[in-house]
Amino acid sequence: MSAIQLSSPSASRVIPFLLDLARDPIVWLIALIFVVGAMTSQYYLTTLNLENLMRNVAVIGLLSLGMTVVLLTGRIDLSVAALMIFSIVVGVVVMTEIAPLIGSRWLVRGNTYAGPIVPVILIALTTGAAIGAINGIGVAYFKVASFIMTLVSLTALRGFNYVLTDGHPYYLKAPLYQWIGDSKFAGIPVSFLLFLLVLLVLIGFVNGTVRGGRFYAIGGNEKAALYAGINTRRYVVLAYVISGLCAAIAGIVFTARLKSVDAPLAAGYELTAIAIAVIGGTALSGGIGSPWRTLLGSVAFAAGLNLLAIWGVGTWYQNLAIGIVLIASVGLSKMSRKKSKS
Amino acid sequence: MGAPLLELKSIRKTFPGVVALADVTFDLKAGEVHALVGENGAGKSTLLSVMNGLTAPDSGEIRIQGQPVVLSGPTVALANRLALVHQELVLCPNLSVAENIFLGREPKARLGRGNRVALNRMAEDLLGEIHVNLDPARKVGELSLNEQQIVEICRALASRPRVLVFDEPTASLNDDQVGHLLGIIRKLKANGLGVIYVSHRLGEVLDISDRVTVLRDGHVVGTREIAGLHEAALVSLMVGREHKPGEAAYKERQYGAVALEVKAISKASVFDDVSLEVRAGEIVGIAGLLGCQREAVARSIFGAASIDRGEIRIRGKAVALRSPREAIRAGIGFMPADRKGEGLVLPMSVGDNLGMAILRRLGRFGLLKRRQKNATANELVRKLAIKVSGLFQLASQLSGGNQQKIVIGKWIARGGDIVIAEDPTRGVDVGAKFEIWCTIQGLADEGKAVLLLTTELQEMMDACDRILVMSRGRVTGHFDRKDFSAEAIAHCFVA
Repeated sequence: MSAIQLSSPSASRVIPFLLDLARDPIVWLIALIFVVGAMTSQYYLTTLNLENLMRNVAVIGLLSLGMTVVLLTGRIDLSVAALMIFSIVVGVVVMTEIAPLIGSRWLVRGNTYAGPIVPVILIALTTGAAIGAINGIGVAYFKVASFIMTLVSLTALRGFNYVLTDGHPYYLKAPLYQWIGDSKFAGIPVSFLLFLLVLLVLIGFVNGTVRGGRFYAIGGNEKAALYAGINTRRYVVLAYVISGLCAAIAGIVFTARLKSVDAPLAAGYELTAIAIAVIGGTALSGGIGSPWRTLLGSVAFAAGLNLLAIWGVGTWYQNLAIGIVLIASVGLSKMSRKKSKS
Repeated sequence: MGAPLLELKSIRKTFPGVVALADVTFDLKAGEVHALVGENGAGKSTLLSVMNGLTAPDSGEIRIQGQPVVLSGPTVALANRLALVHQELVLCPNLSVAENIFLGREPKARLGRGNRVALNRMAEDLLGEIHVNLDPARKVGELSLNEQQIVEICRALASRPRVLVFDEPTASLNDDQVGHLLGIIRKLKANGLGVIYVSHRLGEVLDISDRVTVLRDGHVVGTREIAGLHEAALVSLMVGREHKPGEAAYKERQYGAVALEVKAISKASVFDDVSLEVRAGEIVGIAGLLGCQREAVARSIFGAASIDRGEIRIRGKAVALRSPREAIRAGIGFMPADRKGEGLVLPMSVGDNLGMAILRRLGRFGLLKRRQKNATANELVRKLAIKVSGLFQLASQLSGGNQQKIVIGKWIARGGDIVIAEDPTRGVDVGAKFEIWCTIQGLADEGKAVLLLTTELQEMMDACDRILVMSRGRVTGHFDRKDFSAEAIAHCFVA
């Protein structure tokens, strides 16, 4: 019996999926942006611009993916942007400190780091996960409101960034870094492929496994999850660790593109990440949303911002636009949810 | 025979200023239904949360099959195969029925949607066991209160427990479903499970239990065999005073003019052509089974949901109620069944809750006239005999009966002349029930028109002047008090 049901051909799911997709307002929004972009600018659909767009999506998309997981549990992570820079700074600074100990001086010349990049990446990932764990433990075990906990992290990490770098930028010179930042694979930027990889892993975990489903349960009704015998605190910590890891990967992609890292970089990106998750349909109150929809959200967001830039709209107005979009999407999603309920 | 499944020895638990449990001893054998009764505030809830690991006792011992255990959390309780059906609905509204039922014990990792299909099938089987027809793929947030209760019960059953605790499982079930539930409990009992059954419905307790333990003020008044025990004896054990039946609250009254008139209102695929009228000083009940949509009608009258066709008249004037705000202005008060979710602001004080519906009247130049608010609140606390330590006590700390009295008091303070009461005695003990019925009769005495929706038909027949019966969104029957008969009304349930 069950075998018949379970092996029911995937084709029968593809069609409803496509129908759902066609009914999704965000898909229409993306299409609209591209159509308007193509009509108003001859550069919009050029390969160069699209590659640029994909690289932008990679950075903010990675941040938003981590944010989505945290939001699913009904919490928030304001530290992602600061952490994304911090993890790279830690990686570089630790390596420059270690260099004299292992007797090699060639690692650093002035503010240029030319040593091996793989250890930097590993240290960055560890740092991301560790800070995420600290956030998570503070929120889950010490019951600090997530807003406060991660706001404190944000401020502290920003401060550490200056302390560790002494306020100077570091230049990063490494072939691997150049490859991540600039190269393409089958015509698609490597950084975007990296983002897609993380996306697939997260979709698999969050939407495909029982454990991933816990995030939805906790966000829907934490008490119910607790009463069902779920160790909710552990899952909250896990969500923050995922967010921290995503931030570190975003940091790698971001700094690989700039070939440098500097303390004040990526200020305000945490709001961008929240905006994207919400545009993708994630509920700030938790329990609703998915990594897949966050992909759509980040494409819509990056495409819109890219269009504004092409039109020559100033950065400050772009920030204003981010704010308006965030408020509008939260308001609209609340309203549509109410409607579908009644 | 062996050791009892569950033994509690000399359990003591104090909260600041209150002894919730004083030296409570309780035991449960395999294949037995042991009922736990007592008025609200007697300590049942605390005892249950001790059993479920949510509250750690100050002293005393818990043994499971003779082995002392420390239940440090719900997880540990579940691991000891001790499951609890919660009185309040503790469900994830964003997940499906099946996902809620198997939350925390999903079948091991079959990836993706295939798993969902299997999960739905398992949920269907489980729902089938208690003869409930509910689509396991539906989101719990879309279900009615009664349907959510069923999900809650299925969830406990899904853990295949050895000890199953029912905390007021029938509070929102109709007689039919109660019968089903009791049937299931008998089956579980025959399978050797131990069942702890907490209910205010003493008829059920006498029907299903083998033994009963009565709690009063944190003490065990006695543990009795059910055989040979009568309801009256049980009640006097519980309250320590004479039993006053719900009907005693009823008084004959003179009716005034028609206060609320509903003319042929319809809402597509919800209800159709519903008409009713309530005169001043009259209590009219709407009876019906789960899914009869009487709640939807009540919500439309209160302006919380729109209607497609028809007319609502208040004191003879046609009104269009687009929001609860407009309904309240027109003099309609609404006491929702879900008092924790919709009736009260739990983290606010008793005084603030009582004053909530009259804030406008309590304000002057935007400032709150605190003294007047407290005077009003104090008067209500006295009038309704609400047991509180003071106006500053939080609503969340009160027992169900006292919370309900606050919901009622809020609308008394407001002084509107039409009141819609949904299940006002849900999860409330015998003593408080009588007081609540007296209060509701008192509302009618003052000339208010009362529209009453309760799940227990007997209660409705005791309290109402007239009863309307609904079935699948239509009015199928209409009875005056002199013609009340459970049989005739039940007949209209399925018409």
